[in-house]
Amino acid sequence: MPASLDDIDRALIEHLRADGRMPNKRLAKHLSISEATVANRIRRLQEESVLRVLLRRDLYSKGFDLQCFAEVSVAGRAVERVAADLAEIERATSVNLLLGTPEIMLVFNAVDRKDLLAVLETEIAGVEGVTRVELHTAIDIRKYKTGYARLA
Amino acid sequence: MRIDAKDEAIMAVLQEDGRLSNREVARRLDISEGQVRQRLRKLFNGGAIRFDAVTDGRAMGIEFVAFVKVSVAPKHLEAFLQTCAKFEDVWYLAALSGRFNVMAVLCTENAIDAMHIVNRRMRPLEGVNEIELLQIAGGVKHDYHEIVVPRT
Repeated sequence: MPASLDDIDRALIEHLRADGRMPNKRLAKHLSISEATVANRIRRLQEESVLRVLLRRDLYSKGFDLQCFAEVSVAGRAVERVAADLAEIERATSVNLLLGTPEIMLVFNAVDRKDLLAVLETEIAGVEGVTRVELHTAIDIRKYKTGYARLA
Repeated sequence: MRIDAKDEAIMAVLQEDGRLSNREVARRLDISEGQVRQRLRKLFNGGAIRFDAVTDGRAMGIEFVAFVKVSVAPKHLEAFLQTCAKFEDVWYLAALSGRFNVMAVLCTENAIDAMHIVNRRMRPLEGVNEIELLQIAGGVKHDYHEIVVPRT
């Protein structure tokens, strides 16, 4: 488990959420600490797997027009194994175990209608244990921060 | 916007560590620093990339994450989306196709906080027909390299 975060860590993270490339010098000024302290804290937070600062790409610019949420029901096979197989799908960006039925929420991207069909009919349908898929398509994404992940 | 092979190479380096200096990126790819700066500016201004901080949910005290599906009467959908986008604990929000026309991802410290947001802040909004919540019990895959840059 990572060490607990203090107020400076949290403030530092908030600044980096707003601008991941803010120079150490400016971060130091905002937080009234030295530049060396900023560098050390960012290094420590990254080493402890609390924080990652990275370039994130826009889905639409990458050519993915469709983001889909598939609620997957499972029978006759361990849910974890089905989830592991679904995670192998290249288009899948997120695979989550739920409580109860549906057992799995799979999030994936598709370039277009044909691509979506291929993911559904070839890849998802090819995973043993999948009995039902309820698909939702995001047609107007209004907020996309998803700044949390499991890094540790 | 056209994205060429050089853009792709620059993005690939910064997807691993978004705080590398332009000079270091230039050195690794054997191109000029000016070119890195110029291309990053083009990609950023075109909405193709963002530099962002991703934090470990548990380290930040996030113990409850859920997909919240909402059915809202069509004429109230826009107002519902605008209001929910302002909720700090809503990290993702999109209009959806299907029986539910809104998908939100909610991240809170615990189930009680989530219940308060759903019952006290979402449910009373005009036009809400139904709310269904799927709690995430575990993640198998989560690619956090992609986002959607909001269009204004």
